[in-house]
Amino acid sequence: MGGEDCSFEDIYRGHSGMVYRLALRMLSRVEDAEEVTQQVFLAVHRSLKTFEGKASLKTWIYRIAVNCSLNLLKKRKNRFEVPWMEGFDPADTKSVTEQKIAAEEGQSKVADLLECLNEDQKVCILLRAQEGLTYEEIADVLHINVNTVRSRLSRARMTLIAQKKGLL
Amino acid sequence: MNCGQIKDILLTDFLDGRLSLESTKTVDEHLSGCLACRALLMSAQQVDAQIKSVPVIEQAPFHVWARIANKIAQPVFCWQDFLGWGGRSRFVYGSVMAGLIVILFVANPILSQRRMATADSDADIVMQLVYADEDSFFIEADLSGIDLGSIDYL
Repeated sequence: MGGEDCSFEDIYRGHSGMVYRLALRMLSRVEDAEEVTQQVFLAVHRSLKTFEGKASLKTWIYRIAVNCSLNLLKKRKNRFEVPWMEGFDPADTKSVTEQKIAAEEGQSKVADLLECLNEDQKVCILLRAQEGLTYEEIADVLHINVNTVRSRLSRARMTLIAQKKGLL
Repeated sequence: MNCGQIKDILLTDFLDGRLSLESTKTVDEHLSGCLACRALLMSAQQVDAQIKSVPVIEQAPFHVWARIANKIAQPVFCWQDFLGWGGRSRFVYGSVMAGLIVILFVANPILSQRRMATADSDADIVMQLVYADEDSFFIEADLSGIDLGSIDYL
């Protein structure tokens, strides 16, 4: 199936953006997003032969990306690491590329906003509002019921509205 | 429909365009007369717009691909590849293993019977030795307790 139709490089080109974006929003740090992207595509490369095509390739890759991001988030919490927003100095741009800066600047406002959500809600709202997945696709990626997706989105939006009002 | 009922629909199905035309009309009617629900919808739309407003990243940075390509190029020893353990051969290995397990189950009672028979014969020999030892003990004990001088020999 999927793996034989196109080369691994084509799959990477077609899906690396969505994986990187999702990881960046989830983890709020460029280095972590790069690590997750690497982990995801190495896993895809390993398992491509056995991919049976029960889910779409996109859903399958999203699922791996969500799992890798949550794993790294868990590891980071265990290590009591400080998120990049706290230590990030916008003036210190010598060591980072322009792409990193643009990504981080745009990310910081959204990251601040999303900080109030729990991981489940954050994944749901990102997959819906940022990636444009349907409720059914989100349910498929997260292995949950469509009604659960609906309730998580409702709660996430309520929390975000409250947070935004508090911030303004 | 009251505000409590509509709030949940506004934040999900209405905002994400999942309602039927008929339901959309009902919600629109409510919205036209309810300032609080209109404000809630606007806030939800603003939140979504803010999440979407982040610059779109079409691809991960190039060096990520370079690292992945480098990792893939490195030969990795894998036992499954070494044994050809994948695809249909998995079934062959599975069948062979199942066969071995069945043979072990069949062979086990036969082997254990043989083992028991051997154990029985060993046990017999041991018991005979024990009896022989007991006999000699009693003989010795009898002799030690008797005053040979007091024996009235016939």
